[in-house]
Amino acid sequence: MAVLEVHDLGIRFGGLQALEAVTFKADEYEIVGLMGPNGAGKTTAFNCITGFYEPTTGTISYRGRDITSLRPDQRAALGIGRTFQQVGLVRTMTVLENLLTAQHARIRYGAASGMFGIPNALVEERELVRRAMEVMDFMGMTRLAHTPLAGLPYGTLKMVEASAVLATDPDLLLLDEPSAGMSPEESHEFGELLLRIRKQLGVTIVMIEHHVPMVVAVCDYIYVLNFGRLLAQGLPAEIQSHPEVISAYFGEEETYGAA
Amino acid sequence: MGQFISSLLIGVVTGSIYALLAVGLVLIFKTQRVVNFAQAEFATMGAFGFYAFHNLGGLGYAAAAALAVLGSGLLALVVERAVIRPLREARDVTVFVATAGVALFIVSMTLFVGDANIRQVEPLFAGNPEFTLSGLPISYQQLLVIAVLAVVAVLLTIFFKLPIGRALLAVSREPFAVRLAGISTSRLSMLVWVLAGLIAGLAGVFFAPTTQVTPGLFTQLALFPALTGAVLGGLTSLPGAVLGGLAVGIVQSVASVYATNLGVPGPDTAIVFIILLAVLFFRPEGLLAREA
Amino acid sequence: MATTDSARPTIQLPAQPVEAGNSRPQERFRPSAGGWAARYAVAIGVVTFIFVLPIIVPDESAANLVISAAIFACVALSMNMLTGYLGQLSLGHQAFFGIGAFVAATIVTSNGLPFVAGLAVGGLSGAFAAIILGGVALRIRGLYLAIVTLAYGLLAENSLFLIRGLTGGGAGLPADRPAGFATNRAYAYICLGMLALLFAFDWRLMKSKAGRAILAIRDDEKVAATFGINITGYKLLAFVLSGIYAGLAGSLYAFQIGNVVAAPFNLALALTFVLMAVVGGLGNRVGVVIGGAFFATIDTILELVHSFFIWLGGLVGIHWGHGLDPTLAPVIGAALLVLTLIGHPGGIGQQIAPLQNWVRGGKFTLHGGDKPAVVSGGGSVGRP
Repeated sequence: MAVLEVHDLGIRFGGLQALEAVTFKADEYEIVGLMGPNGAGKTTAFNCITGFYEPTTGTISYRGRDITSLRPDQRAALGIGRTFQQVGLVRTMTVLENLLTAQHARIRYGAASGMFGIPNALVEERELVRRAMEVMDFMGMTRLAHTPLAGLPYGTLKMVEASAVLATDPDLLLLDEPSAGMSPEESHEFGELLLRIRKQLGVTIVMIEHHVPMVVAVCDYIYVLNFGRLLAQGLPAEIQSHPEVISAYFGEEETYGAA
Repeated sequence: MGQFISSLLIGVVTGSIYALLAVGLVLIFKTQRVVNFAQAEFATMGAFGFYAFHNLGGLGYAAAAALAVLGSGLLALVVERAVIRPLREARDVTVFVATAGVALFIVSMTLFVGDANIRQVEPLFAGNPEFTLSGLPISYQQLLVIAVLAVVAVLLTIFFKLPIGRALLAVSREPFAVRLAGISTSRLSMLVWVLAGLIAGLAGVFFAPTTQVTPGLFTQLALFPALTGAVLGGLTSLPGAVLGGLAVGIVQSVASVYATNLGVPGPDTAIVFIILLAVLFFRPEGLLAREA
Repeated sequence: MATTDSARPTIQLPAQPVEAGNSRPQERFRPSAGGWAARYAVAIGVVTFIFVLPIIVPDESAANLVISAAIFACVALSMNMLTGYLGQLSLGHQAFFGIGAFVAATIVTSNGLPFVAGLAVGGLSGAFAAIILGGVALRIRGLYLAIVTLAYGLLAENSLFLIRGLTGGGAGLPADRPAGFATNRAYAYICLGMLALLFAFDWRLMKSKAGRAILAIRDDEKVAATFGINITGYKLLAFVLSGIYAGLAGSLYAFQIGNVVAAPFNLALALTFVLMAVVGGLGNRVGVVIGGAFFATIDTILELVHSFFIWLGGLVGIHWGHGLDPTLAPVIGAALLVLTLIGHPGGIGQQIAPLQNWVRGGKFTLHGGDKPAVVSGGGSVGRP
């Protein structure tokens, strides 16, 4: 059974058809790439999957369950983790606090127990810290645990964001341009990290990515969107040589390289 | 019916004050994304200024009125330079709190320098002549308030046809482009605040004789209805602010006449509250907004 | 389409445990035994000082100031919950406070129930008043919501509190203190106890998942939702808690003055509440409590400062003018608000942050401590 199945997804904003009849899926442990020129509707698709937008047509299923009508936080609690183009973190907190906040959905004690300082809650809080440290250890971020986010460089924030999403204990990871702003070496390292995350944590990943070498190196399967429609799909090697994709997307490669 | 017509007229008079303040609020919001809590206090200062120049200083009516209005403009300029300018990078709600602090400062300053006594400001027409409409006395001064709104509306329409006015509108649409075009946003900001201050000053000077002047008068009387009027017009539309202000005044006046029978205190506040919530819930872009 | 789905390989992963790494967190400073002793001494000293205040103050009117300070500090915690933690400016807090006061008086006087019941129902009524506004806050945000809170407070002030049947009109509602607490000195202990209770509750809250959820919502609702936080639920929770704090404070206020009338619950009071939270330092629990206590007693503080200067002048033979204008306090308060926003957005809280950090077991450094939580406003309107 596919981890994520998007079927016939369509959404209109006023007069603009942002997505139309988009169908794609991600199988267990796959790393699926979502490509396409700017404005093709990739992030819009993510927003539909995570529940920020209500699609006009179509369904979104997670492990066979139709989640189209769930709230964003309910989808997150099911195990759908997501990163943002503009780093999605709680900016006024430290790195550790972010990782604690990210574990919200998996906390067993009730909100009231926490407020009244019930021992169970205190014990579990310690467990949360331990788990946050474990994630930071995995990501090599432990050094920064008590650092406030304000003032951290963009690249580091991206890594903190990835750590926070891992702390939500996801089963499906949606990454929105994870390598944006990274140098070729950094994005290569990030690609390695993604493979390691999949291998060790057993997650399925769908990523929006422009950086072609990384997509080719990391993704198992690729979907290409253009003007809100699915233009092509296939293995990385096939996509690279797909004539329509080349004209719609790779033809503009210089533009993206510069961006 | 007669009662209805007279309450309508009273509504237009108070609505004119709301509209004048709403225009200032919209001018500032449109260009700077600042909601100015102190807008109504610029009007109160106009009334106090007039009282000081005319009743205490012995200046003639026109001179005192002109000085008072200019004083309000100057006050707005000082607020812009001293408070708004340093906060230009701050969040919108922070600036809102700051302008509330300015309003509080002005009110408490008037109490500190002067006192809480009621002051009677002299009307333009000696003896404050009145006529009676369906049993309700209406003074010429009250009609004058409506005339002031009309004059301000015409002047603003002309102003926005001038190059400087067009630049100002451009700021509200494309702040970045305007900076590129070499127009000083800092100077435009000053201009907007002075304009808003002058308009509020006019409202203060001409409305004051129809009521009793106390510290914080316009903040108590008109700030909330004027804000609602501005929101009703969409917060960025000047014609919307005029119509919104007038609409709030009329609805409030008519409703309070008929609600006295209900025995609910403060029907004028309640009705404005309902208007505000209804607009924000069902048409947050304002009644005059065009379909996207 | 380039390929059929059948060409898509299936990914198989071997089950593998997470390897334990060996990097260590940055060593945090740990004070020595003597250092801890000094920190405990300071903390205990401050708490003791606060709790002996009702005894050591010279007279009943001074004890009344302690009551006011405690009650305003509770309101400051309430403002902080909404404006500091959740980031929603409230200009209508006189409504929650006033409703708490009127309901508590009604429960005790008209219904003849005990004082504790008055407090409890007063607190709940504040929560009720707040949750209505919270419902509005689910649809309307930022600046617009601030305008709605302003309207809400004005509605309570001009309409609700003037309904004779509910609030006794001009005569007001009497509210007698419980037996044994008739004196200000004794009643001050109830108020300080309530403050301590709310303070401790607030502290635990912010160290638990609910507190983190509220802060996350303030910073970015989308991110919060991505972390699995129920935005609606925790927003309403913050409103409810803020309402309970303010309702409880209002109830205490009812028994402080003994006869509740509508007049004090006006816009000026709401602005004072904003003032003390902002000057105290939004988001900083200790800061806002100090801010609340300061603005509750500002007249007396100014009077003391004034007489100190007269005394100082007398020593060197200068005779200052006598008598202090009581209208000076609001001028200073308003000026402090504006100056805080422009110059020190973190307020008192930011100034005392190094000290707080030290007491918590950190090093004393002027650059330590928390970042200020600047009033934030949701996404409805942004400034260019």
